[in-house]
Amino acid sequence: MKYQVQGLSVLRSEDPENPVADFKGRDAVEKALTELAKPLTGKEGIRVKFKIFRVTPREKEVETSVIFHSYGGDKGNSIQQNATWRIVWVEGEDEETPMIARIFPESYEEVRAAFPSGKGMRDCTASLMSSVDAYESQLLPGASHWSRNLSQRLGGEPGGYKGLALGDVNGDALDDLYLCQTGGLPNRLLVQRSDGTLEDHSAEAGVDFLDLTRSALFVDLDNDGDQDLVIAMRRQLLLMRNDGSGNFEEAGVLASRGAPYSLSSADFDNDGDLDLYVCNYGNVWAGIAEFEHHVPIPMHDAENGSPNMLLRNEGGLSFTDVTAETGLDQNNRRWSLSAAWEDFDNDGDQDLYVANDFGRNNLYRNDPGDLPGERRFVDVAPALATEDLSPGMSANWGDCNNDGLMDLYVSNMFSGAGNRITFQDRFMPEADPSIRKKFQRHARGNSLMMNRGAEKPFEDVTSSSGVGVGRWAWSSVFADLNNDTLSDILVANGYVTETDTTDL
Amino acid sequence: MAAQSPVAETAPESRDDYLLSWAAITQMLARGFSLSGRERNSCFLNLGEEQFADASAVSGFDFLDDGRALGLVDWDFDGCLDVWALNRNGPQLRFLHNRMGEKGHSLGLRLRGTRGNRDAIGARVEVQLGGDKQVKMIRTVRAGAAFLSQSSKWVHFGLGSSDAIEELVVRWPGGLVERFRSVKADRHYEIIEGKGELVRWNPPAGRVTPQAAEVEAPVISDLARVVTAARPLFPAISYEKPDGTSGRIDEFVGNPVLVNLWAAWCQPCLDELADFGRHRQSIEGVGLQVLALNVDEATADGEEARREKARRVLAELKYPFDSGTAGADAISALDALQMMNLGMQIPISTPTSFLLDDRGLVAVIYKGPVKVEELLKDVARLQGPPREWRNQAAPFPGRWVSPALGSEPVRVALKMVDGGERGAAIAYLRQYVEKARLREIPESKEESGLLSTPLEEVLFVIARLHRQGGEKGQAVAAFQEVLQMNPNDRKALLDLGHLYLRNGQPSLAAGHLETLVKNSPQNLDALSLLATAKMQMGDLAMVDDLCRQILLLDPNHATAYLNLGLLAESRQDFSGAIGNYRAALKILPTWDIALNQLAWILATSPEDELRDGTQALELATRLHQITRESQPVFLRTLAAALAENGRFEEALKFLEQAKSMIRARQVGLRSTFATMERLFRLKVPYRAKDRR
Repeated sequence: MKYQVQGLSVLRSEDPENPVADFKGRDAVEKALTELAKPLTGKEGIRVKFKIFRVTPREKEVETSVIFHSYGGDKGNSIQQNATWRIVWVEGEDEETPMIARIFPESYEEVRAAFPSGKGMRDCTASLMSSVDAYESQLLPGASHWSRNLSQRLGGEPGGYKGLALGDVNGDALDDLYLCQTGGLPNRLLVQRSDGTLEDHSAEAGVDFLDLTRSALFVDLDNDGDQDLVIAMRRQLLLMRNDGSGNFEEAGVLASRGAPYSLSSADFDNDGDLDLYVCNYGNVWAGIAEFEHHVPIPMHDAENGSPNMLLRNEGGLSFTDVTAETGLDQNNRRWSLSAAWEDFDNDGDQDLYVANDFGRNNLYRNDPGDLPGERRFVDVAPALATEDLSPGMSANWGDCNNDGLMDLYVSNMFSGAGNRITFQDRFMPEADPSIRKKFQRHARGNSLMMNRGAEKPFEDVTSSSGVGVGRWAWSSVFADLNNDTLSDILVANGYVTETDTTDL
Repeated sequence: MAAQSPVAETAPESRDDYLLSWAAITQMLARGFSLSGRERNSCFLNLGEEQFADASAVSGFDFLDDGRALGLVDWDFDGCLDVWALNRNGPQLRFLHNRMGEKGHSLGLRLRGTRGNRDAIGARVEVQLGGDKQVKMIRTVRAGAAFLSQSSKWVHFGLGSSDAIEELVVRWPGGLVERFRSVKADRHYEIIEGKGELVRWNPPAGRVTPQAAEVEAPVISDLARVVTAARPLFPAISYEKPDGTSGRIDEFVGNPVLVNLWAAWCQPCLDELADFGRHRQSIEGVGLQVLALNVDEATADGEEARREKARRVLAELKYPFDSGTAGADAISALDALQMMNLGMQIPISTPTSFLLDDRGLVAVIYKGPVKVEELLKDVARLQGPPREWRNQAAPFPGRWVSPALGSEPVRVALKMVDGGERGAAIAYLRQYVEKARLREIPESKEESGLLSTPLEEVLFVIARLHRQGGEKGQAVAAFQEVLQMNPNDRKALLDLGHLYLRNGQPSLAAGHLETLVKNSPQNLDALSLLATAKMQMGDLAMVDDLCRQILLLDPNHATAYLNLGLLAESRQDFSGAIGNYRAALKILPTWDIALNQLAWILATSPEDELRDGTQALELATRLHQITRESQPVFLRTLAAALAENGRFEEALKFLEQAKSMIRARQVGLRSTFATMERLFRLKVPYRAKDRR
């Protein structure tokens, strides 16, 4: 099958259900690999990667499932190959070295691109940062550097759970950038000049907080025409009011019911002002003499996390926690990392999807409450097949088939190791098969769930669509990157890369 | 590797393994191991018909940054969505300028609510394209989604090869629907709710063209100068002076001191020591003392040889200050100190230096050689008040919202325990408490602004550590110290209750537990322990009361049933006892004490209607399977049950075993066994005495 999409062309093997061919024996295998390498000939910067995600030992042989990626560029033209194979290995003549006996290619895809600049998108950060000293001194070094150089008592953490927010703080219609940082480093407010470059306003705007900060949100909370700022710190939320010129003052501190991660806002009760939803993960280590951490139990479906909060806007930057009275305390003891508001059933109100680590996600449908003006949420995730039992890190809505219904993409953790282990017979042999399946699902990867309309369950099309194999995935977003009317998907991957090269 | 997750929470051993696995993974990450590292970002291209192609590499998006957050915005207003990414690793921030959509048409919209929220969050925008494709696209204005991310509120549509927009519809949050025709593509518009028109918006002139440039994060180095934000206490390590006598860090307190660790094979160490010598005047000029501790491993030649070699080396280098040799225990203590005060736990190496202020608190840790210039500046900064310490530690200025964290000596102590040095951990915490009481350590929040660990908590940890080491007397004393500071400290009262009970001092236990119960009448652990204490003291009426209270709070409290059973037995109410033991066993079917008590009654009760030989044997057998040969009393019960079922030979065997296990002073058991043996030989089952 062939696709042509403006400077990008995609070639695919004929029938993904059946193997394209079966290469058996030395000559055939050599021929197969030579064919494979052909498109890369003459290219520069060639990269090749193999990742084993399943191992099936048999009596005299071992079969592995492998994901193969390659890339090569040549000025404006580049190519990448994506394939999955099953490889059969036998013992070599020396009885030690495993040798390839057969290769079954299961799927093959070739993506060719012709961009004048060589790549579709390029890192142009430095060209916007000439006035921002902190770019080189604070932002070029990452967690590996800072955790070696900062006192632990500054409250930092090495996991890199810090995000960004885009919003226009000074009313010129140009987005500015707020960067959250770990404990001991100041958050940065970079304001966009009219020429597109950035200026560091962190200190004068009053938002250069050194406290550990995970996320932030620019929203006009008091409807006065400027962007206020909500900041999620270690265990609390900070509300900052914009004075209209891009300078902020503290308007309140709210204690969170756990460790807050992602923030998202919508007017859930349609009363004209924006409300806030806070995803709480676990608890921060309670007390030093407790000797115990708060850990998820059981790991594949934990409900011992911290409750999320819906904060209703009461005006004047004051909020009330209405989680319980709106029904959102249902299934609300999970380890939540991300939430996305959207009117998925097109009935005029904002529903809410929550992605949870270590277990099932929520889809809260927004319904009218008992009294006029009241709302009541119902978790319809089980009924509409959107539970996605996996370690969820991110949720995003987008209509990827342009049928007028918003679909869901959820980032999970795809683990090569997880797949290798959970599919082996020896893994949890005494456990109920449904629990084994849950662990297997747990390591599968990201999920694309298609909205099929009125009260029908969503359809998980991950396997057939080709968007499941992420890695340890964090943010994922829908974006039409090549302006062809179809929303593409971007995923940020990678957990912890340290100086040691042997991965856990 | 990682233990498997407990499927349900009931199995205590698997839960402990599971917790240890989490602790192990956290530890490994803290020490610089990778986990799912070196993974590239992904870009999936939508091909239509619910199919996507992996274009990660050709798109240029596939960086290896441990990516976290993504924000979308058409930054340069060229019609293509660009991406801001914030990553865990360096470079933390990337602006990715996207030109993949250059050939396609696009539309940019900014919405403003008037009746609804000003940001128009929740507004749904539909674009219907004309032409033969009849494509209709929808977008919603949002605030916050994905992971820790917020994209621009500008709404972007890619229109493909067609620039004919048939209709644009906006569904505002309040319900108002506005439709627009003749919308020109490749433009930016502002739409204000209710105004009924699209207002053209032009990007400002003079925009800079984004220029691509490769950036690299700085190379990771283990060399660092770390200003501590909360000045931890330096452990009272001992070392040997050059003349062989023992030296203590205490001797230096009163003036700042740099404690330097060096080894003879380490060239940077030697260069550094020579450098100190060259700068003698300026170092002495600021009142700084220096103590160079040699940490070479002791060889077969012994300690004196090591001292001699160190002395020689220092003399050659013309090193003029104090020196000594330190042993493995000192290094271990300092390793715990530095690992728990830095973000990354990397074992100590040479040279490493600690700059102590005049109170013996660590102000700066130098990993690698110290530059004297920097050292002198750091000495000048030592005088700052505790409130200023964390600002000195932060590399860039900024403001704080949360209170400053204290030094948390317990974390260092627990690290020492991990390393097998429980004694050193206790000594460290004792030292901390003493110094805090002398006000040499900023302790109260009011004075210092630091959120320090309350002394009661430190003392509690000392007590627990003593208890873990079997030092009961010292544990009790330390718990008592906690109570002196806070007579109502729940944890100390409970732990003391436990300890006294295990020590066979139930009335002392009861005293503390009663205080605890008075303050926390719903604390099940306290109520349960108090019931046990009262039982041992013979205060039976209280036991009854307490057990009933417990069962009101928790109908599944097995210990309460057990205690009620024991109570009933002491009152010769055996049928009552049976009922309670059965209840306990329903909750914990494998509880040895309950099995033993019940089986004994069922096998030996003088009341015919209470005996049940079959049940007795079943229970006693289960008990034996669980406990094997661990307790003579359990074997005795099995023997009695067997006898009640006519199996006297087997009964005698087990009785023999039990006899061989009891000690000389267990006179009561001895005489019972003798009686049982006599009866079994006569093929008569044993009956307990009828004391009614």
